[in-house]
Amino acid sequence: MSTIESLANREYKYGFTTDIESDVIPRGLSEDTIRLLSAKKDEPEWMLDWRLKAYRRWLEMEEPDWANVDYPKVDFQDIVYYSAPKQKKQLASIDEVDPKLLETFEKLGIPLDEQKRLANVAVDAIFDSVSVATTFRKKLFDAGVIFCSFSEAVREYPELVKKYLGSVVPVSDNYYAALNSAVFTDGSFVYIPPGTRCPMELSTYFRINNQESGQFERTLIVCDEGSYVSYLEGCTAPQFDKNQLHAAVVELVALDNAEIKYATVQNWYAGDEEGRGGIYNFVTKRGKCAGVNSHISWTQVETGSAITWKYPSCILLGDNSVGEFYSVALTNNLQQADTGTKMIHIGKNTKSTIISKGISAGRSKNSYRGLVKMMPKATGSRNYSQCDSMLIGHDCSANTFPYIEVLNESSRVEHEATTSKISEDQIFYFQSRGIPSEEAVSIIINGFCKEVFRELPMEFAVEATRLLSMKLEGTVG
Amino acid sequence: MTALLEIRDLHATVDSAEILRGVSLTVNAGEIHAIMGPNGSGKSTLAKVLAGHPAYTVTGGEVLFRGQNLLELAPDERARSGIFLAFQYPVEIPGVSNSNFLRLAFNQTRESRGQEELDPLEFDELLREKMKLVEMDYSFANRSVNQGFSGGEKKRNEILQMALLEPSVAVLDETDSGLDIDALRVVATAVNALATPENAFVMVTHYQRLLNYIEPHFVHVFAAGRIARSGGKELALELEEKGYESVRAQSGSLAGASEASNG
Amino acid sequence: MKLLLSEEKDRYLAAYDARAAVAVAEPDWLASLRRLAIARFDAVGFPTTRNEAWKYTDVSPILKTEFGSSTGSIGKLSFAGFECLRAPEAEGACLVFVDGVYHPELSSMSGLAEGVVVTDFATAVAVHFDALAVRLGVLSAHESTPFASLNLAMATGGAVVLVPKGCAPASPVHLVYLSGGGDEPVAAHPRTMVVAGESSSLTVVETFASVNGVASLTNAVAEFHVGENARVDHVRVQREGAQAFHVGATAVEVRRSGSYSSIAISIGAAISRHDLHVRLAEEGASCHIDGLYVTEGEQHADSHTRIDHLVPRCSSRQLYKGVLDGDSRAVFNGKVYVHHDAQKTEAHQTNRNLMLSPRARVDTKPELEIYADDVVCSHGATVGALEAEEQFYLASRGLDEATARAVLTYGFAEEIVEEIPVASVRRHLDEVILDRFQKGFSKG
Repeated sequence: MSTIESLANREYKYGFTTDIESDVIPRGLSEDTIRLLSAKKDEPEWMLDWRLKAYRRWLEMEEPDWANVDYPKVDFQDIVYYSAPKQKKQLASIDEVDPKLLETFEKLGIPLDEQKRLANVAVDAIFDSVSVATTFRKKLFDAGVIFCSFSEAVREYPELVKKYLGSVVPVSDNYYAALNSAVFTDGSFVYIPPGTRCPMELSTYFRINNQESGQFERTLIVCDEGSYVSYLEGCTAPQFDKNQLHAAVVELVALDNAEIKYATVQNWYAGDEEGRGGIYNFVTKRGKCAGVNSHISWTQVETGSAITWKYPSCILLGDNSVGEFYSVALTNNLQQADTGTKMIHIGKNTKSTIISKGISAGRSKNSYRGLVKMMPKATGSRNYSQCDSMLIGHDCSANTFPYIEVLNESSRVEHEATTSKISEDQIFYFQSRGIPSEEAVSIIINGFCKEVFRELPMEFAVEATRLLSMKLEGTVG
Repeated sequence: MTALLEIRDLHATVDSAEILRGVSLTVNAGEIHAIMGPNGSGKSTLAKVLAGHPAYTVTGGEVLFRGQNLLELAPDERARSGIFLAFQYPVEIPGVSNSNFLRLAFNQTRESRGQEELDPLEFDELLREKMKLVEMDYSFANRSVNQGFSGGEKKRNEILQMALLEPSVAVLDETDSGLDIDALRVVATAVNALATPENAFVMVTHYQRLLNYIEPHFVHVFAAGRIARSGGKELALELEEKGYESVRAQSGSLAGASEASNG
Repeated sequence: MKLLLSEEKDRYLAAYDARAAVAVAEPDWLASLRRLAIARFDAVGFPTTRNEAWKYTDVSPILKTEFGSSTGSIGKLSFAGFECLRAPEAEGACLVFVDGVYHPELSSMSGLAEGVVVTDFATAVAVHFDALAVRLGVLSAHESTPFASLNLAMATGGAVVLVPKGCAPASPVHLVYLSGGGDEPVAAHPRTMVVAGESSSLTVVETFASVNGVASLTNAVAEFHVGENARVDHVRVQREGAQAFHVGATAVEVRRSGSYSSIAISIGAAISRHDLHVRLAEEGASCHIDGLYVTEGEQHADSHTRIDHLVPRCSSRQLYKGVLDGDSRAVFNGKVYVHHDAQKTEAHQTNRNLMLSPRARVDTKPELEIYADDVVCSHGATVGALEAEEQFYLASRGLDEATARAVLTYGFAEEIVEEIPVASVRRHLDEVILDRFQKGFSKG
């Protein structure tokens, strides 16, 4: 079993740090921290009150321990809760953004300036605690679409924010959601007006730069009646020996006949081969299919983070609404992932599909955890789940923990799970046809994940395949 | 003229047990060789060692392919340089479509030979043509590689790959076993159609049956990890009649005769 | 686990003390096992739904009922009702217990094969302590529940079956555990131990049934030691009455190339729970565990299985099916755990649930935990109603709706029942199940 072992693990290419002057508040968490943070952001009183309420709830809560992950307790007083690159107060255009920041995002493959930016993808770039730029604002504005940083939304669209913030993930939903509600710094806000098909892909790119800071972003996407949006999120962080906390909350609301597609390519720094450093990715993502015939689809490609704790979920409230979850989670070295979804069927004739592909290599731990619940009134509803695991090497683990709760007769739930491995014989078969082993691994992985990749926008599917193969180099054999 | 393939005193082990104990064999362009012998005599091992299977360790001897040391090449390099193994038990590769797999293998080989790659449409045309040769339904192109194929379908798929990759030396490892008479005829027709004065075939087989359809120039009988006897096609008939026991009885006296009998 | 039920726990601790005060002196090894078991129970207490393993089963109705200690009274026993439970195939190897108390006059042990021991717990303690002392409580200690600890602390009645090397008794051993023999609610803690020696083979039937409608608690534990190359077929039928509570645990260990097959049927009791834990401990060991739960009215049936693949080259297969009617609830939780280095494991698990009523509820959780890469594992779970297509097909052949539904439901359950290797047990269950489905559908 040694043909491919010799291939070296490629380095994490996003591990660089940007040397930039930042406005940083002292580490530690208290009501004063929250007041200071809120003041820095020039927030209205109601926003501060909301935060403080969340903070007080958080103090009463206990850190969850049911996930199949092990890590030392997080010291919440040892985190910097606000770190922002210093820049001029109001920017007239993207050209005024600090060139160092532009350069950073360009290095990450996300050019922000007018000439080079991605065709037909509008990007909100978030650096540590704040949004530094949002592209294509004019074009979107003309279509009636609101796409801006969360901070700006609080100032400019307070009624929309007040109406929907916390409506899907309540402040006290869980420990990390409560923490996020208290200290979130920035994130993206999207509102698609009735009957509007968003003219381009929307995307947020998250970058942690400061070694001491956590990132607590908040995303809220509202699709009004009959509207549609496709949204993509990407994230990276520099290589530090110290673990960093990322506790985000994403809320999606789809009204009658609306559709939201939300895709994530998560590539936070995962730590080194010995498990030093890396991001703790404790994220709450939930969508509410509030209206009839509404449709929310989550697609995630999880390759980074030391620990991932994440369950993008759908509450299928509207009759005939549809929830989907497509996931590829890859763990290598000492990474741990406990990820999956919850599909809560409340309305009649609601449908959900779960396709989860877990790939574990090295000494990593990869668990699928999911809940499918058919409430008594969700008559005629259906779920189909398929959770496949692939193991590479004998020191990793792949676990499947599906919970299925059915409270009515006419719903139908089907769940299946399988495990497989990349065998030396398969690799040899490829080689004997002239295909080198690295390519063989990449093709097999791609085949294993294809049901998920085809849900991604084309260019990201290619990127995802490349990312997975890169992460797996040197593991098969 | 250099031989296409020259095996000299080849020794190989698997899990530290010696399976090949000094195999010598010369294969020239235009020749068809049959390697026969009882189960466990090492004939399938020879096929896998030639293709570079990682489970086998070569402990002695050498293999020259067009005068070059074959053993120092990785399995994929061997394949691209023109060695082909038709597997006895082809593996299944879920999620990877047969046509993508074949096109990739085909283009990799073309590229290494300095030939133009074919685009998907051109390749598809070629694939359809070759599939007709092995009487395979086109629907197999879109299925995952070997997954859910019957034994016979898997073997046809092997021959299809051989037809596409056009190797210089094709080693068929018990391609005939488990085939019904129709499938056997298809395989044989394909091999006969593909045989040219420039290439060579080595057919590892347990039964004489295949040789009714593909006429070998040489027949070698394996026993205890080496070639015990070599001869023309009449040797196969003799084996059919007298069984392998007769060869085993003579193997002491005849060991070493193989080198002289061909080459 | 939270000790929210300390009052109830105290009552059981008091029952332990009371028993210890009056019980005949027991050998030291047993007395110390009991002390350890009650200490473990005391430390953990009864589970609540906050405990993951009991998330869907609330035991508080069991604990609210005050149970006296068993006297083994058979005042209410109707001979006809009892006779139909007995498997004629096991004539001569049948032990009968009432509320955990052994009744030799109802049992028969005349037909035992040579060397085979089938005896009650007390006799085994006195006569076969060498076999018992080294094994009692060893298997049930793995993945132990508080109820299993309580059983070890309290068990006085039960059966011990010892089959020597190479022995293959032709007829099955039948263990009949009856509950509710007297007028007052009592708790019984019967214990079964089966030791199948090297290359032996054995069929064991455990039947749990109620004598009358009095509330009862049966807290049963069975341990099966399946020796090298041995084969054990185990049929477990729980068909206690509507007032009964049933908590059972079966712990199995299979040695090299041995095989364990079980069919666990649960159709009775108000609340029932069965934990089946199989350890495939040496290479080549295999198990095939099937189950069927049929619930109606307010019944609650919980089946937990766990299979540990501890070493390479073991295989496991499991198929559990459930039929739910009325306001009933069923729980299935099956875990397959493939340990590090248990390469070449093959494990397949399926759970299928048929919902007959809009008010029924099923919670199923098939789990895989895999720490070895060269394995073939799969699981599947389905929940759904009868197929409209199938009903239509039968209707088109002239069957009325109720009959068509009964036939299809029966067919669904039959896949498990027809595998029961003891003909009389199979036939009897067939009747009980068909009768229930026909009744169920005709009442609409």
